[in-house]
Amino acid sequence: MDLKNVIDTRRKGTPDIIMFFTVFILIGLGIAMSYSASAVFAQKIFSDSFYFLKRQLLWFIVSFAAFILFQQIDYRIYKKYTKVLLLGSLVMLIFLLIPGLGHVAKGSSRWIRVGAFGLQPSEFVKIVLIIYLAKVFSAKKDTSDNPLFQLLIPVIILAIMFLLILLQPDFGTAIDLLFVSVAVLFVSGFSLFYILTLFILSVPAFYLLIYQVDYRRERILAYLNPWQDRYGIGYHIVQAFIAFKKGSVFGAGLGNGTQKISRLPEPHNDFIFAVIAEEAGFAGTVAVIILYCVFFWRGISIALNAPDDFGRLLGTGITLMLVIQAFINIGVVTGSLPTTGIPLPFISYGGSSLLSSMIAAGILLNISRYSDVVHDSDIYNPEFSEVWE
Amino acid sequence: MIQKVFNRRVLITSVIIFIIAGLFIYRLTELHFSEKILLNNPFKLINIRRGYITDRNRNILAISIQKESIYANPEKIKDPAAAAAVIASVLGDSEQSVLQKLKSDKKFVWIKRKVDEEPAAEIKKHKFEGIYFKKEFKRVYPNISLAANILGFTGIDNNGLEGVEFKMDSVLSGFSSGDESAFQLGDNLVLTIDKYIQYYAEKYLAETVQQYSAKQGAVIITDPYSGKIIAYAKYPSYDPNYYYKAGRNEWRNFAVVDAFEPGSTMKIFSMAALLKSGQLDASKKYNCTGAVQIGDTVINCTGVHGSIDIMDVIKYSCNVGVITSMNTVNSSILYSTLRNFGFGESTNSQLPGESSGILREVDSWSGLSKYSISIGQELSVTGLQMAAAYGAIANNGEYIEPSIFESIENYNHKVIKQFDSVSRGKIISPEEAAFLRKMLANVVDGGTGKNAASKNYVFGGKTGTAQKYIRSAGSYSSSSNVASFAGIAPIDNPKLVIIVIIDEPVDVTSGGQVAAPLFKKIAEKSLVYLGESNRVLKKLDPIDKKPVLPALEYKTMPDMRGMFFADALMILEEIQKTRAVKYVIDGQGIVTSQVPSAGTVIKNGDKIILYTGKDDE
Repeated sequence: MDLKNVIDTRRKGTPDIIMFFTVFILIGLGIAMSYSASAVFAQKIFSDSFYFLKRQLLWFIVSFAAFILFQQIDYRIYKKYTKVLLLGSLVMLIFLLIPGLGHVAKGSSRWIRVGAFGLQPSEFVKIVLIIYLAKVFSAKKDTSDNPLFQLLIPVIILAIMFLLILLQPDFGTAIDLLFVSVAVLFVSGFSLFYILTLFILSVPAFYLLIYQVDYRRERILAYLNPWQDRYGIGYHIVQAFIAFKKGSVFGAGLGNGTQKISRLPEPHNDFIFAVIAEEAGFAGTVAVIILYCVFFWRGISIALNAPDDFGRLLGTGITLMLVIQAFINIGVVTGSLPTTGIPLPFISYGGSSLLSSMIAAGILLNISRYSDVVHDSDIYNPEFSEVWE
Repeated sequence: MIQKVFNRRVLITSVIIFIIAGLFIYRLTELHFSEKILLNNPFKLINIRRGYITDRNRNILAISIQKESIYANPEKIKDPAAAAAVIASVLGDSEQSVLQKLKSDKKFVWIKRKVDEEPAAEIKKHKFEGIYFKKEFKRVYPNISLAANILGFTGIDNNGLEGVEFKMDSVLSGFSSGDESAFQLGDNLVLTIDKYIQYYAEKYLAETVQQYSAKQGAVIITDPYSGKIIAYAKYPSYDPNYYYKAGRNEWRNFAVVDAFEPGSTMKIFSMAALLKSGQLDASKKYNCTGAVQIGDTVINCTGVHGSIDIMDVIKYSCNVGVITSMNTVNSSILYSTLRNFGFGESTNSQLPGESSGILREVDSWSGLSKYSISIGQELSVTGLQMAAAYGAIANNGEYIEPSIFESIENYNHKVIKQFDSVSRGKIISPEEAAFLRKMLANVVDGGTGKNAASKNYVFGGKTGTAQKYIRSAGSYSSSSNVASFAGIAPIDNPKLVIIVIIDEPVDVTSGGQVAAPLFKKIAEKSLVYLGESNRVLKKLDPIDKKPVLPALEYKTMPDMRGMFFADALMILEEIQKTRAVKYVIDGQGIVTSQVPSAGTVIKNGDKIILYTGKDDE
């Protein structure tokens, strides 16, 4: 594609500074905590306690470059490429499911190997889908159409993506995607009646997908009473509880936790919140929640002040995607939700997660740059004329 | 899109998100501070009782007993010399060392940890300023060295350091938060071993190792149908109550963590490969002239066997016969058969430090390898792998992973996790397994394993005498070897798989002479104990079934003070197995006194009363 179209050189405001700092505080916390959480594990497996730290710093550099790039790219450009993006997503997700191509780790096929690193396409598919939904629901509608009919194609596309991610299996990401899609649908102004109808129609499908899959049912039962099965699935949750209890008010101090040593599963990854709980205590865990709330507040303000409907929906969708993901993770670790593996955005160790979160944050910051110049005719561009109503 | 609707719905969404955030913060206060989150427990204990360990019949193997620990704040002691004199005389320690502790410039110093109640009470009477007491649990192994090599031991802070105590530390140890307001009692562990069979195995193993002045020895007994390890004996062993008096040599489970070159016990698996290749011809004769040449290498046989069929090849452990038969077996079939029998990989027994042994991939085999491996050289195996592999022959061809854990119970004796057997499926057909058992029966019936033959039962098994490979010399040792016997008892109706390994016996060195008789002794005793009918007595007399073993049963009243009441209950039930006694436990918590007192002989009709302190002082 022509780079001139992509890099937006027209006049625009400064990015949202609070959002910028919130993201970097979260990432800084993440690098420190995932190092602390992984050092023992890394020493044991790779004989190098810095193994994960080095990789994470490398990913950070890549992600930071992407972040800078994306906050320069005019977000409206994505509208033109939704078909390509969707098709690409579909290809990647199907590719993963072909035996021998997707990289299988820990019983699921979520990764595509790029050299020594693994990429998790579903992290990026989420963003693509939000772009698509924002485009569809911000477009002018023919009011004569039945609203259910308008929903048909997006729902089919969403269902396909959802199922493909579920098949990997990556339940956490699939559920995140689902929640965000419903939220975008909701804020875009669809009648509650139709949303409810859609929900009721999908209940049997969920019953089959969740309660009929043995290990998911077990996880739900373990969630209802972790102590009952404290050496099975409940084990992780009980160990996390112990981490919270040990953490008390201010925690044991960075690096001083003991639960991360062979008791928490992948402490640097999905259970990093428990490590924060033990090492930084209540002060640390509340701070993390507050940081995500600040992120949410800034994200929503950016969406509300966006110059067009696409920007509003995209901003809301991306903000919710990250916040809901964070809440699912925290919900699992605090025993408020059944166990499912999903990283804590910006904080958990993991390249794909960091890269996709940073790209998402970059897009948000780009939207924020147009908040002050809504009616400025200078940025009117016939190429995007359909945006203006 | 209507701006107003959007704004309103974003507001609703925001409210929901902030409510969820608020709920999370509420949840966090609960998790960080509430005592209800962790197992709510009615017993207030100062430190956490470590769960007990029992055998499969719930006989106690390891238990925790509360003792007094004495510590001091030297700054607050007015007359250290007087205090030291009293303390040293009561505890029987050197006055000098106690005084040194009392005069140190620290604010906290242990004087002695985990002492009995009487001396602690004696010191308490003097009301020394600056001397304090803290109740702590001490790990006690009432059967002394019995099963020590499975159990392992704990350090002074009740952390598991070896064996099951180490492996299952997080299960047994429980949890206490820093301020001791929230805690979870350790869970109890039930092992698959049987105390009595373990006792026989250890007793006879010790005799054999001593008789032949061997370096060490091990016996592994499993149930072939479930893979459960019924006994694991090792000699020399140690007393885990005083583990620090022994060393690595005693602690080390060589039959689990070290792999050895097995020798002839492997031949039966070469026969399995022969069966798999469809090349086993019972009528074919093999001619043994005492040696066979493969390339440049001459492999000697155990004797000159002449012209014999395949049954006799195994019966007399003929190297030449086995090697010749391998001419018709593809290397990859031999390799895959051995892999299927579990060689070259861990059995997943969950015993700490288990070795995988060495079975090289076919690609790296030399021209000689197939023949060497077929007679148990050029590969190394562990005793556990042997037990599991012979188990598959006993279990009609199905391989079950050996296991040591039966279940986990909570402090209230409720089972919270049951360990199930893990099968790796049928690796040979039931017919093939039956044929291999016939071969093994033949070995004991007048073959190299004739010393394992019993008047009462039909046994089957294979002897092994492997010269040790001396790495520094690059050749096999002529003097040091491993004598082994792998057997199934009874072979006509398998109940037990017994592996005997005697490392470096002196003078008499063959598996048939050293290991086979030990197999027979243990197998006979165990089967009688299990009540297996035998050839002589169709049905066993009930008195014969459970032979009384003075060393293992409570003849006199044990000291139960300091035990958690639910643990004491286990001991009382154990006493009831051999004596008709009644018991009462008055209250809940820690046992503080008992009637009758420790050391009193327990007779039928006695009544035992345990009193507990409701609270901790």
